[in-house]
Amino acid sequence: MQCNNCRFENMPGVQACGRCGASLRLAALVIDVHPPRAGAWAKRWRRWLPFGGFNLPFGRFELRRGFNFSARGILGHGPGEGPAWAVLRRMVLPGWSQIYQGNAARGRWFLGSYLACLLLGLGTAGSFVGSVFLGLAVAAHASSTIDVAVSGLSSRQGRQFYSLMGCLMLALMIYVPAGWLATQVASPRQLLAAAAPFHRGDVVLVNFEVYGRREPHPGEVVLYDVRRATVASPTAWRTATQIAGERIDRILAGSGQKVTIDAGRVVVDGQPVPYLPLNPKRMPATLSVEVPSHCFLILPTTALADRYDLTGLDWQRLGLVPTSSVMGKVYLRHYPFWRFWWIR
Amino acid sequence: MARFDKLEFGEKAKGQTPDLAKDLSTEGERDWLESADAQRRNGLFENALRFYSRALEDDKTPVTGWLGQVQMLVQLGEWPEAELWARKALELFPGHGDLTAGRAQALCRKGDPSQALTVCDGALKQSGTSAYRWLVRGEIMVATKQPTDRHCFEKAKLLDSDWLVALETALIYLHYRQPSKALDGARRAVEKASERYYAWYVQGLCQSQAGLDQPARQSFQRCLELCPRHVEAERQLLKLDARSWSLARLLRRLRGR
Repeated sequence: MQCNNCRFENMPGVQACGRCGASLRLAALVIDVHPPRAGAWAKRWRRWLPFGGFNLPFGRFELRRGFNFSARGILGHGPGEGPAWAVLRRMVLPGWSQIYQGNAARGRWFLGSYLACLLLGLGTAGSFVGSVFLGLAVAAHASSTIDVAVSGLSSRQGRQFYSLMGCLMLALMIYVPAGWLATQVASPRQLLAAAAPFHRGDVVLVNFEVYGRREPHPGEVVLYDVRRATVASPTAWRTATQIAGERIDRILAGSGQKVTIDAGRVVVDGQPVPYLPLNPKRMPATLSVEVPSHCFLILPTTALADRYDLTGLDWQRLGLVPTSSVMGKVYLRHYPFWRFWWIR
Repeated sequence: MARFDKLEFGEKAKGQTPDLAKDLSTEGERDWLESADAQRRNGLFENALRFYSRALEDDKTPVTGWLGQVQMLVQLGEWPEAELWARKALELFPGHGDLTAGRAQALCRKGDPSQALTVCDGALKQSGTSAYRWLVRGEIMVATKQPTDRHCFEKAKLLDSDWLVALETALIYLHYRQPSKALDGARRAVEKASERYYAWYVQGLCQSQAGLDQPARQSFQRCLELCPRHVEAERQLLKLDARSWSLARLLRRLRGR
């Protein structure tokens, strides 16, 4: 029996060619002779992303295999295999790739330092210390990525490029979206001056997006823009002081409601309400006001420093805040830890 | 005499009928392979692929059919499928030089020239030689921008003086967007087979991509004279008519690419 592959004359009855190993029973084999074909969709996409990857001037990126630098690319000499996709996708968590690659101690070190910095950073977010810890957490993550990137590459240029790309991908795929999502529910604001019940340096969380979906309700503590006003000074050497800018206080009433304050009690439309401004001590003794449309009544009790006071007319003028000046809901004081609590 | 009962004497000893049937099927398979080759020489790769498959339906043993399928898949741009099919064919014909070269070409087109180079080395180490192996070698040199590509293509042309080899050289250069180098191969193909409209069409493509509008128009017109219903040539002529001045094309022309 002559082999079709190499023309070697084999003994009759043998299954495979003694020289090249080709099947001598090929004619009797039941095999599909029609090749697999690419669909129109696959062919169209392959123009842009051939075989699940794309070519770059310095090599090729494949979704399954990661980067594969070409031998004569701009990144220097020698083919350098980048990390595999299984390693690449584990870069989302610092240390995970190292643990996957068998370097568990190194991976745990990265993961531990990242989690420690991240938790401390989130706990103190909004403060200087928080910025430092969050920066350290990001640095730990970037270091983990760079560590994975450089372990598989020999050329200096390749390492530099891969590290840069890895960090860029982390920023674009994890930290920018995460930051955006976080600001949808919590933006930290640090108070620069003491104003009871807050202390200087306190950090509160503000939700700026909630009032895009619904109207503020009376009783909620909000961050708002107080109207610029001149307040008479009790001291002789300083005639007046100005209050302006962002303040935090409680909405006492909405548009169309009639508010009466008498003897430390707040009555809205004839009904006493359980809530008071954040600093009830600075509340006016008596006040009667009807809230016009598109306004809220928010008495700026936290806006006044000690010994400064407003007259009844000033309370009305400053307390009526346009709807557009209400910026977001303040719901938590999260720094310092010993004053951590909900603001209700 | 029972001890000789199970001796094999081949099919001929049992009668002439199976041999005749085999001859007939071989004849049919040869026809399909010839048709496939004819379609391939006209640039109709889809039809050629069908004919190669048809030939293999009749007889799975000719390696030409398997190789043709792989080559057609490569020409049709279905490189992952070509690579897969080459691997399957190599299971049936282990270490076959041309099939290995076909796999190397598919790998190269897929964008993995380093592996393609390794596989191509394996193909060249196999016994015998062929123009196709050197064509693939040349293609890998072009893909990796090494200067020995011309040497490989010359080697291929020395091994096989068929005009198709010159034309495939042109197609390879065209694939890697080097129309000026491709034009050389296309010209040789046209010189050898001036009656073949596909050679004129490929020459027109090279000229068109090199920015030589007037010669390209002439080549496409010649192609249409030989094959009046060549849709692609008509489309290229229309494209040439609609083409305006382009700085990129001028620069390409100045760079000689």
